[in-house]
Amino acid sequence: MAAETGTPTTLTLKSNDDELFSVAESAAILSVTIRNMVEDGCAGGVIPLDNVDGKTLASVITYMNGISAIPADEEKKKSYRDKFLSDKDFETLADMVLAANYLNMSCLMDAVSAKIAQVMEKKSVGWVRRKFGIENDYTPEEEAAVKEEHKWTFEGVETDDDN
Amino acid sequence: MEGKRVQIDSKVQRKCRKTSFVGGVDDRVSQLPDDILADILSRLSLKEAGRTSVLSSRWMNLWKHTNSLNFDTKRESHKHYAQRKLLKRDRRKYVKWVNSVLRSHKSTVLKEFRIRFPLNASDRNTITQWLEFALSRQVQKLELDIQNYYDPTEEYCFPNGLLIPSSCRASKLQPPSDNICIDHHPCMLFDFKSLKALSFKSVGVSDGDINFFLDNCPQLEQLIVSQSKKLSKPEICGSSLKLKHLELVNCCGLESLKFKWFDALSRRDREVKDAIKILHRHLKVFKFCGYYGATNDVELLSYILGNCVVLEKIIIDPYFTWSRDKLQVEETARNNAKQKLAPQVPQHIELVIL
Repeated sequence: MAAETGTPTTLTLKSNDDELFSVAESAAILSVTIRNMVEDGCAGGVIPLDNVDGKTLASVITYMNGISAIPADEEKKKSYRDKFLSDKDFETLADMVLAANYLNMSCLMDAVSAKIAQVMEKKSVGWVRRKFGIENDYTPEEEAAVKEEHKWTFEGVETDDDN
Repeated sequence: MEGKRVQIDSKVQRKCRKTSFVGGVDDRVSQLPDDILADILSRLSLKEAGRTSVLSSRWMNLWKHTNSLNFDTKRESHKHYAQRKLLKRDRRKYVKWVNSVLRSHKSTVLKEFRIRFPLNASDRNTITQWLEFALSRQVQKLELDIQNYYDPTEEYCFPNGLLIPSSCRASKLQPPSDNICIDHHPCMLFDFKSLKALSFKSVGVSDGDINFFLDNCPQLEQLIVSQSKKLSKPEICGSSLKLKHLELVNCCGLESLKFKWFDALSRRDREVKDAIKILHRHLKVFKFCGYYGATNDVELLSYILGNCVVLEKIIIDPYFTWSRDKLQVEETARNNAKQKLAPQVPQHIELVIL
């Protein structure tokens, strides 16, 4: 193990579109999935990550390197996470939450879920549909009926769709 | 209404089966698994989560899996205080709302359950059912705030029935426990082990209830009891309390408050007045709100001074909202603090008298 020999161990991760990435073991083991592989001795060659594409994996590795460079200071880690996620679009956020789920990285998963929720906050149904590309498959009658059933969710609500 | 809803549900479900993916090609968010989407929706307010049902059929029932049921209408409720008629009407509406959400709710676990509305004792059975609902879903944070200034009636009391052992069938559902306190209640009706925060406002909580929570909620970190008339001599005790935040506010029947810690090794029972060796190694700031200068106020501060080894600051706040000659009482308390306390406080501890 790296900690015992004193030289940092590097792992090679392979995305599902066959891109290879080198990453320090100390950063990669933020993923419980990868950590388990390392502990089971499966990390000798290339670690295949079948559920993550190259673009997303590159992002996740940036996060792994960034967050592991911060000493145990929850405030600083939080502000790093906020900054890291601030410029990500919705598609990327959705890909990231799936990757974080697969890689078993609860801190990233938590942060991305919170970010997606934050984006949806105080927004109208129309705005969320447009931004997330959600296709409305209700017939007008069905939509009216669902709205009627959930009438309470529209009471006393002010939406803010300006961005 | 009920029949109509069933019809809509079945129609949309048929549609869902036909198309496995109903969003557009770029709609990554809708492609997320249900549990992740439910987790995202749990972070929104209940209204906002419920509103996503209108987005598309994929979203229609997702919000029902939220693990946070926060029935808070605090902002809207101010208007109620002035007009009793309005309050009565909206109380009926509130109860109906909560009941309808609970009927459709699907998650088997709850992180948060919060009731906040001026209810009265006539809603007793309903409130108890809500508590049962939350407790049967291993709720972690439970708040019941039914403060009702303008229509005060008989106090709603925390139902003892919830704390009573049920049949042995229920006990089989309980994981085996090594907590000795559980032995007193071998077959609990509900599992209280997940509770981390409990808050009761204008709810009759008794000394026995407090004992029960401390004995049976090993994760309990926060306990707030406000305006309980039943509280008289609570004892905050336990062998391995995780309690970090304790608030007992405006409990007019309060006669005494006893902190009793069990030493994990010797299991000896120590009371405050004998607890010279029990040191609080973390408390740095102690604020005493409503200091009156009575003998027991001074005694409590002596105890704090003697046992909080890293104490840096004591703040005395002689603030009285309920006194008619408020200013005079506060001034007397302030002088008392200067005369009686100041000489006792060592130099390295800052004494602030507000």
